[in-house]
Amino acid sequence: MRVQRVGPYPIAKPPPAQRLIGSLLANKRLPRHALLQALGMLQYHCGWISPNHLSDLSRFAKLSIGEIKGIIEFYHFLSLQPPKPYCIYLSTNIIDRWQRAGLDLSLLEENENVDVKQTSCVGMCDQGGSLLINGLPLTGLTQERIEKINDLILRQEPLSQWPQDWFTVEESIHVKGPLLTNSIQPGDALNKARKLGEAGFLKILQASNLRGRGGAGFPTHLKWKACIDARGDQKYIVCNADEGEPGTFKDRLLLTSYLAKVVEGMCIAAWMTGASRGFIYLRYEYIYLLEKIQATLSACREQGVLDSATFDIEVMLGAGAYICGEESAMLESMEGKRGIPRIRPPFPVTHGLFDKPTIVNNVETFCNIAYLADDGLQAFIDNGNAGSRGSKIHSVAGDCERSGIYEYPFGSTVKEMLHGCGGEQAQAVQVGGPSGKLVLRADFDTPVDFDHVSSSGSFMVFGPGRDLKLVAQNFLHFFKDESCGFCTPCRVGTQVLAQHFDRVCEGLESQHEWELMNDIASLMGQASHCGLGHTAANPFIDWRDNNVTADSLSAKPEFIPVFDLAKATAYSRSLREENHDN
Amino acid sequence: MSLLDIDERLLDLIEKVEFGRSPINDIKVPGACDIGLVEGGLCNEDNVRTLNEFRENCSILVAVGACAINGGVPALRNEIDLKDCLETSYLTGVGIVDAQIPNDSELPLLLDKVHPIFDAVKIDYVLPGCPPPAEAFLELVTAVIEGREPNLGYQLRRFD
Ligand SMILES: Cc1cc2nc3c(=O)[nH]c(=O)nc-3n(C[C@H](O)[C@H](O)[C@H](O)COP(=O)(O)O)c2cc1C
Ligand code: SF4
Repeated sequence: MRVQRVGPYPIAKPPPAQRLIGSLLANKRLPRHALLQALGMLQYHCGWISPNHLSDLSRFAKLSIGEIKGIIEFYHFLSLQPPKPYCIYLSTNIIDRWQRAGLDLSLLEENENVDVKQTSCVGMCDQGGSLLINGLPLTGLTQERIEKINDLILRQEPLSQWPQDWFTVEESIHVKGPLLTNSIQPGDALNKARKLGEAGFLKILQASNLRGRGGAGFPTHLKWKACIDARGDQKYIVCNADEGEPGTFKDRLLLTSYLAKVVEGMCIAAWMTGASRGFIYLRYEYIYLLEKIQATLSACREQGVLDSATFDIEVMLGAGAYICGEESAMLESMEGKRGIPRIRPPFPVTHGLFDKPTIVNNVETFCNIAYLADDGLQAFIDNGNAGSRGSKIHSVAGDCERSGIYEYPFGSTVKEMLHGCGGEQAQAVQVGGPSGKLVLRADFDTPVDFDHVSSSGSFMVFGPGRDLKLVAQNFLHFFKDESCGFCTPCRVGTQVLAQHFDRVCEGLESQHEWELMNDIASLMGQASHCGLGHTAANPFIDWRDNNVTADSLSAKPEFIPVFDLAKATAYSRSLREENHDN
Repeated sequence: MSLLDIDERLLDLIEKVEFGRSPINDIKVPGACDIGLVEGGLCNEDNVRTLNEFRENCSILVAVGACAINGGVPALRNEIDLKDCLETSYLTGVGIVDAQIPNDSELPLLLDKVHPIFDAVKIDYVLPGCPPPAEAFLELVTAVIEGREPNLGYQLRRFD
């Protein structure tokens, strides 16, 4: 797929679906797993999935229109509504909101030529105020720029004619550690690993105690061993580039500037397991990187690192769903379905993509593999501590002087990191995104590692003036918006927490509601189907534990109705008066 | 009404309880009472007033059935604008004769959304189900009379 700048919509003559998705068709058939990819392409090029395209897809894929609609409705970025000439997405992440705080966007909201919609974090927290327009990131927003954008939109100027520097995403690396400084000659990491032999490298991997960088911190050597041992005529290697945790953008950097290393990491995995195909599952928000990624993959093929006869890598696009970062939901999504987490066990290492043994690792984990193979065990374990070896790349954003990318050894304290980014004044830091942990000033000596406070890479700094209650509220709404809806504790629980926490923010909540929220929060932790539900109450729990005491609770009224009778009947009263007048 | 499913055991129960306001005896104003069983969601202002009266008069208030607990089927209208809802029901829907929106000032005003009853008052117990099983009623009332916590076994709480 070519990532030209598209817009204004509708594009002059919407080509038939065949033209846009031809590369996915095999004998005029659209394989089931290619359906989501086809939808993503149609959405990107046409701004929606039109009824014509819908029936084309139904014919090619031999699926009912209803079934296809069911998939479209699952993903935020797929739409069945005819688009306006432009479509803007604003990130709801608290950091992005603050960055846009001084800007007046009402111009755009009132502009008839553009739909202004909201979405969860788009991975641009270090880029100043930003937005997505027709799928592409536009950064460094100022009031002046907004006015210019508004003019261009009014004139329906094609996106390709807009000032191209508006679309640059800066690489903001502030501290480089071993991972970001090491440079690998193409093929070297793989060759060095090969020299050690499978068993040899697995031993190194075990000795390094490398743990997954995607959030859960599962020991990589155990995952790989299980996949090596699993029986299957076909195995797959999947790189998780969904990077959905609000405040995280370190995978964006790795995909932009360090992809060759990621590829080598994947090649090592393929060689160890005998997998012949690999995939990078790229979040739709990063579609602007697609061409660059494909160019790097081509370069790797030319250099012989990738060899289509033994192992090749393709990119698959997501379509806007935080839950698709969860590995089993991601596999469903890659098979062209709604991204609903699978029941585990069996785990992907034995029953993964298309039910075949599959290794799923985060982008940064694969980078670490390549680094470990290239620089050796000693260099790797020189960083970090016993429980958490190596270094971690952090996406630092919020109230600090230098937001951007920082690589620190595991075990660095929150205080050290704040010192590095000029955020010493902070009252608190959210480590690991909304599903992570809020660390207050008194605890800034806490090390960031797997044994203390673990991080998927998001590090949001909250200055002294910020109201942490509003931060918790923002996170709870994030989970409410992103719950996949499959299981009741999470689908209902995230709604209930968001709804009643809104009342906490207004100071209107009762003891009864606290009881309800407490019950729901612990129920979600125990009874949810996947990790999203297990952690979705964390912002509530953190806020409660830091702020609510038995005394403050007993000062609350026992019960308060959640609606006001006069207000709730105002509308029907006005309808009645209208009718009487007629 | 599904309380009546307890069949002949109603006779034993009557020995122990007296019915205040209920569909069985058509008393309109509730007096002081030990247990209030409330079914249905809150659709109009009258529902809210009645519920408040119940809360004031009953020591224990129980939400009975899916609609009282979750809003149920009537709450399907929450996604639809009230005006559209009334027009479809009384003006433009299928099979309507003498189309007009009922507009008598005697009629209670509709709420803009249907609410479960614990949105308006504190609830002590819930009896889930549509309707709840007769055994569940019996267990709840018996437990209250005997002064113990009700114990609704799993079979009384699963509905698939
Ligand atoms: C709700 C949810 C979202 C997740 N999002 C991501 C993500 O965006 N990127 C990622 O690498 N892992 C994510 N994970 C973790 C993955 O399920 C999986 O553990 C990880 O990709 C494994 O790779 P690793 O062992 O290299 O960390 C998420 C997990 C959950 C429960
Ligand atoms: S916990 Fe939430 S996200 Fe996970 S399966 Fe259940 S509803 Fe979906």
